[in-house]
Amino acid sequence: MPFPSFRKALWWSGPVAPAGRSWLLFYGGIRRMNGAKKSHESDYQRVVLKNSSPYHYMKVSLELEDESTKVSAVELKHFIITGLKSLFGEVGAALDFDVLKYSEDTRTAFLRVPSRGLVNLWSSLTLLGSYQSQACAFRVLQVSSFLLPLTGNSRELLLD
Amino acid sequence: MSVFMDLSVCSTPDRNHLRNLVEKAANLGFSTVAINYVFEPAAKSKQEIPTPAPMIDDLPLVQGRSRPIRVLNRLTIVMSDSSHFRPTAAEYRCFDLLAVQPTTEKLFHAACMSLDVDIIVIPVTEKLPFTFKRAPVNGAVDRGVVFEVSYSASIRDSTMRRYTIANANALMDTCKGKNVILSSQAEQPLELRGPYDIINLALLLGLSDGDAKEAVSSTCRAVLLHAESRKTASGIVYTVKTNTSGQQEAPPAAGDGEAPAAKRARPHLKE
Repeated sequence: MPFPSFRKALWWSGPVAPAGRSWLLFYGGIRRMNGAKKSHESDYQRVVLKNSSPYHYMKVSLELEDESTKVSAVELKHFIITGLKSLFGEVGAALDFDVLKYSEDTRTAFLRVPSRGLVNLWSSLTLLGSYQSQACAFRVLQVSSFLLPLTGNSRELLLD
Repeated sequence: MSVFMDLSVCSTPDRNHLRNLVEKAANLGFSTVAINYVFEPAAKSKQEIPTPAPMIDDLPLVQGRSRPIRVLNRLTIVMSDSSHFRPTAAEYRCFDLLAVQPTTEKLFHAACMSLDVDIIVIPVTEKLPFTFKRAPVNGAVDRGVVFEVSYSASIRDSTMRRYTIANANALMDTCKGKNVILSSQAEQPLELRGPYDIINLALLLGLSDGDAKEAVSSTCRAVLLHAESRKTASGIVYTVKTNTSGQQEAPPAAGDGEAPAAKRARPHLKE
């Protein structure tokens, strides 16, 4: 699970990336103008971040007792902020997370949160138990430090 | 190996309701759940120890696995006097797990050091009636008895949430995160949370990353093995299941021309 334990950024410029997990590679083509002379030097600068991505992305769905209740995106965000406030107070509610995308009929939202606030946001989602005096539960479907993995979920595949 | 377990969901006489709970737990990815029966001996009136109801048939499949969920029975005895726990009672034999909830420091010491139980329940609905001492807690860790913190009370009510976090933190200070399990104690399916949610919540209760994951997986497995060795006279643990008398039919052999197993999208998700 992507817990933000290793926050150390590692800047690497060299031909070989060291072994490890969760590497983010930027290939920037910094081609020198007199490249023909210095052809033995690397043509690219490689920047590697180790587990220090600035944001985490969560795919969550709100499960309600009464499935017909409509929840708008604004109401959803307000509800999450209420949860943050009740668990961590004013300071915790100052966490600036965003609802990137929200689908009202499935009540599924994509949240973007700064990595250091992931544990706080996630635990406040876990402890939210009632929405407008009816029982509710947030199901955290996926968490990733990149947005791309949230496009598919291998757990929704069926082995036959 | 990490299969997730929830070693306490509340029992209800309503079979349908219980079935919904078990189904939801399987859906969230729990491989094993234990149905909790609470026995609270009162001072005067003689009460019956509850007997576990028969298992639900055709158990739901665990999410992400192709095997059905395992359902166990567990008895929790709320102790307010040392005579409430009878080690030789025949009624205890029909439960897979045995837990006690001591209410005084003396009983907590006894539960940690001598009582033949698997789980010691930490109260989460009231202020801690005693302080945890290093000696009994270490004794319990050495004997393989675990402490249980349940989280569904903290979902229901914010005062309970305060007590849960405070009591859990007091426990973690003493036992350093070892031999702790987290369970739901859920009455409604909406009070259950997924295993990774609980791991994240455990960070809030003072556990480290590694201990948090162990609290829903390998420590729970250790409890089941402890329970099994408690039941057998000489403490022999058997973990290999032998196929007796061929009652289970062999899985159908795949034909030669059949395509190998492949993953495809679930039908209800396709649309």
